[in-house]
Amino acid sequence: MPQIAIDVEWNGGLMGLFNWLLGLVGLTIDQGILYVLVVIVEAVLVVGFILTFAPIFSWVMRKVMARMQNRQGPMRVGPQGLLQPLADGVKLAMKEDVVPTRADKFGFRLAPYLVFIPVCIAFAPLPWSGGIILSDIRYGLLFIIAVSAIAPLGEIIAGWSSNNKFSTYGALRAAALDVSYEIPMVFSAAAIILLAGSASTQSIVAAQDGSVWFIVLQPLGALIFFIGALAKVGIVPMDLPEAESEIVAGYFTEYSGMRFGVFFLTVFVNIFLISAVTVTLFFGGWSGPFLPPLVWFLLKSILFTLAVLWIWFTLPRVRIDQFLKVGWTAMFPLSIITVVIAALEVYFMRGGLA
Amino acid sequence: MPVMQAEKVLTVNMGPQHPSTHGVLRLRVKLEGEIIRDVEPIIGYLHRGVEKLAEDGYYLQFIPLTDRDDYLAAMHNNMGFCRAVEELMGIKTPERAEYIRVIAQELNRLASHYVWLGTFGLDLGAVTPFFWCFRDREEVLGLLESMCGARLTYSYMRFGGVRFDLPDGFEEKIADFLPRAEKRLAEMDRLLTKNEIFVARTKGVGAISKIDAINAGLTGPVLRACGVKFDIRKDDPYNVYPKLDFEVPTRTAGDCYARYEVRMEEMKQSIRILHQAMKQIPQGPYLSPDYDNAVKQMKLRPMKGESYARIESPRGELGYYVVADGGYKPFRVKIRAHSFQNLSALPQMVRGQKVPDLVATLGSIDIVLGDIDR
Repeated sequence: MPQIAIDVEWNGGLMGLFNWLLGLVGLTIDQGILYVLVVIVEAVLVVGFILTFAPIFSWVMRKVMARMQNRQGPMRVGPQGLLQPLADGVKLAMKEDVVPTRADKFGFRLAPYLVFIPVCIAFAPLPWSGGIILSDIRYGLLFIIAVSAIAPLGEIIAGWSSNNKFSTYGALRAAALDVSYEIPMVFSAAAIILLAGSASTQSIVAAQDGSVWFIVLQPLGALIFFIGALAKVGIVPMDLPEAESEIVAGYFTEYSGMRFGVFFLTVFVNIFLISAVTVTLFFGGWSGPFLPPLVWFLLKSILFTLAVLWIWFTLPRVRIDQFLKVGWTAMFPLSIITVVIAALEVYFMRGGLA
Repeated sequence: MPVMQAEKVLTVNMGPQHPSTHGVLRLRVKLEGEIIRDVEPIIGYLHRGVEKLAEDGYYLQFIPLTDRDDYLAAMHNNMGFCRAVEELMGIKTPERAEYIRVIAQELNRLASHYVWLGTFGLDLGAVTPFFWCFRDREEVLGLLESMCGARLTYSYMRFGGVRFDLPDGFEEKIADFLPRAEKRLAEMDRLLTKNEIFVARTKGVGAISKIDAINAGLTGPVLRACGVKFDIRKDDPYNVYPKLDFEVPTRTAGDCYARYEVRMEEMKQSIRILHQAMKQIPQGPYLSPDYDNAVKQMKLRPMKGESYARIESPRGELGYYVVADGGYKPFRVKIRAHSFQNLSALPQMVRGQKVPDLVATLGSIDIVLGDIDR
């Protein structure tokens, strides 16, 4: 595997642990097979995190929402409303799984996975701490952006296969939004790659550790990246693919039960993902004094997640054409300028063309 | 190839179950991409034949039915019908009753505008105002409940007065509520009025010119947002409105933002009226002695004749046309529904705009389908 530089510390540690355990029972195992086993365990850990995170997040979301919007509900189910995620899950699971008669049934069933799985894969190069990372690939940042670009495909399939005009509108909106805001995102990420001198997420964090956070060098880029990320997740003020009051629920109008649940889960997981990536790129990732790196990373990410919720519950929705116009006439050129700024910064920090 | 020349205009049905049609309204929207070429409101899903039912009962028995027309402004419906019958019979009303009527109506106007503001925010994708408005509306409904025992369908007005006097402790309760309502309105103002997204979504959207608005028969805040200073409370006064000091807010743009501003201002004016009314209200009977019990109310028998009375409801001119044939029951009742008129101008407002604008515009004209379909 030439392209994948496995993080030695973590994988090695885990492999060592496995070898030690196997030694205890007096077994030896081929190191190649063990490696595969370790990767599977890691994958299970990440997916496990995602699946435990979602209900916790939905509970937190409800609490924040209740506090801001004067709602009473989230105190009613269980102590502090803690049983609410369980109730939600049961409710979703019990609902009838409807596939519309005239829908494209294969596409309709496939779409939720196409939306959900890329988000899970995008967790792979996320640097939880200096030692904990699923796979520290050299193009980690680009990998995240590229993988999350698969989701619009699922959204379009969902909208089109539903055989519903509102769904189709929602799907086209989702695609328009994704295409318009991916480009500024990529450019502002490119500026970070210039500054860090690498696209590996670990190197980007390492470049900020001990030095300044990149938000200081790239405030504009951070803003553009964050707005683009919000647009990609599709929550207020950019929940245009969903736009409940306009096009009912966009591309997932026709979905019910767990299929709908998967779309909703994707939004939750996505919110954490964009918070984590923003933290990694602009707020020093896991770096910070006193506390262990993993704690720093989670702390910062959760702070950002709460900020996203705050935005979600405060703002009205923008209009699609206004937003696309902003995207192409302001965000796009500005994102190119951030790259130029980053280049100049690198030039002067290194003291000229060395 | 004929196959390739597909129709450029796509017809989409918004409603009757669409979340933003404020009830059961169906809009047949002709779209070219996201641009609206035409809109045709299709109504009647809530039709209950209220006007026909009026002919089957005594005059008094129609009051509970008026509640159900514009169910967000039941007090105004009560008032409109009572005013028509009072004019028909020349009933004089005690002053205290007139003040109580004003208080009831202004509270109801507040409650109605709260629903409008909340749902308008919801139409624009802002969820928070919705919950805030319903929190505040609950307080108003509590006050109205203490007056008449009901929270939505009040049936409070009687010919020649109101059914009950103000309850004990009402003065303190309303004095407690009004400053809080003012404070919360200011809070709402901060949340929305200067919000960039909100302004971008409403300014220049769903505009209608002054002349078109007059020709379409629009009334209420929708008309006043076009710059016409027409308010029945001032121009064809009833109750004790001439004794109260308040302003009729107008704007000139005629768009969603202007309508929003007018209604926000109206809510402040309502609070102002309530302050004054509570201060000025005299002691005395709350129902005309001639008609002060249910039997007398039931035995109402106007002379042959007809009358049209109108009042300023939260949505505009609400008119009741009553024809009497000398019997115990009305011969004919016709309601001039404000929402119906206002909705009729919707196609003019949204042609050439986009789907989200349609939602915003529909939210800004504040229709109640119970009132349209009757």
